[in-house]
Amino acid sequence: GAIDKLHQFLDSTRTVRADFSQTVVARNGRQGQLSSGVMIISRPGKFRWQIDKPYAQLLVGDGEKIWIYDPDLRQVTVRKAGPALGGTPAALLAGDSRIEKDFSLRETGERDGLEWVEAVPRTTDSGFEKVSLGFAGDELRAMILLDSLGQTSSLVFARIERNPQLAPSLFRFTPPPNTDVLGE
Amino acid sequence: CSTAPAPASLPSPAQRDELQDFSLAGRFSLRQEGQSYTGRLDWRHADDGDELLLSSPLGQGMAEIVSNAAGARLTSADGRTQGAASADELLQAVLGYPLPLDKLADWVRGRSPQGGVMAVDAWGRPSRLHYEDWRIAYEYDSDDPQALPGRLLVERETLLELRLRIDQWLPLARPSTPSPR
Repeated sequence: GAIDKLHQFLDSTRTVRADFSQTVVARNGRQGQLSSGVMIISRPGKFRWQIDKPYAQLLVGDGEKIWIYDPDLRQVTVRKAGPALGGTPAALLAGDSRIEKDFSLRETGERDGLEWVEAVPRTTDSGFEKVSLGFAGDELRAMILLDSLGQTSSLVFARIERNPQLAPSLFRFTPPPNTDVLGE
Repeated sequence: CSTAPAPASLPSPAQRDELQDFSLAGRFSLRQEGQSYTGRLDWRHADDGDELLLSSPLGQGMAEIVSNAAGARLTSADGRTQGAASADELLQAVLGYPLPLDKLADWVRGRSPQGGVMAVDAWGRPSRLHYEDWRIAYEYDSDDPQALPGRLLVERETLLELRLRIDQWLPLARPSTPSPR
């Protein structure tokens, strides 16, 4: 079932690269922002989340720190990894701990051609209600996250590469010249 | 009014000077006494009140502020809620700093509040606003004289800096019988 697929995906995937498209819908159903880009993950803890459209934004995590670079705001914000990312899809995928430690899992059947498993955080302050992961065969194709303010963020992955060779520099970030750096 | 020349790029969804109620979607970064916050902002400003949704850069809801005549309330993602008599009081309690939401609603539309000094650009649009010890700088995405701002830099000496990038403006139609302000 989908739970085995999730385990198999997490056990057999050390690195992953995929194109993503994300739709965020607010509680009142108003279509929020549509964005797309590239997601690169190297477990445990390292990720590169690059938004290309409708604007450019880059998030890089090296396991200790997270850099958020927004060229439009001409600014880089640096945060400690861990709680800041705690309950996000990237953290779930990049996480090192056994998923059952942090989430209770439940198979929720087939929909839109994918087999779904629902993960509910065991702690209440993770900042989101639940996340559903959709598999086609043993490939993770979608993640739908319902946050605690009623917003639903749907991520669809395409051109998924499992265990590609990844240059370490992908998970380091050096701010461009004359960009403001905030945070630790 | 005279028909404005065809805007170069992004057509402005509303005439800046006539914009009353609005909703905007964009990104912000706020730096204030060593604390820095960055993320996405969805803001609905209407005659009867404000709704602000602050999300993480990945679009995950972090906090929601609802303010109307009855008062203001903040609900954060971990379920905590906080109330205050007004949005300004609430922001003061949450940020430890008086970020005047009602003034911000004027500034973001390029309105100069009582006692403000506004410098305009070559197209007659708000360019720099001085109000008390606040300084606001504007940038636009087109050369339409009635364009709404695309970027704002709000500074209060070295105490606070708010950068706002507005990705989308949506004018909100007033109810058919607009209540006299």
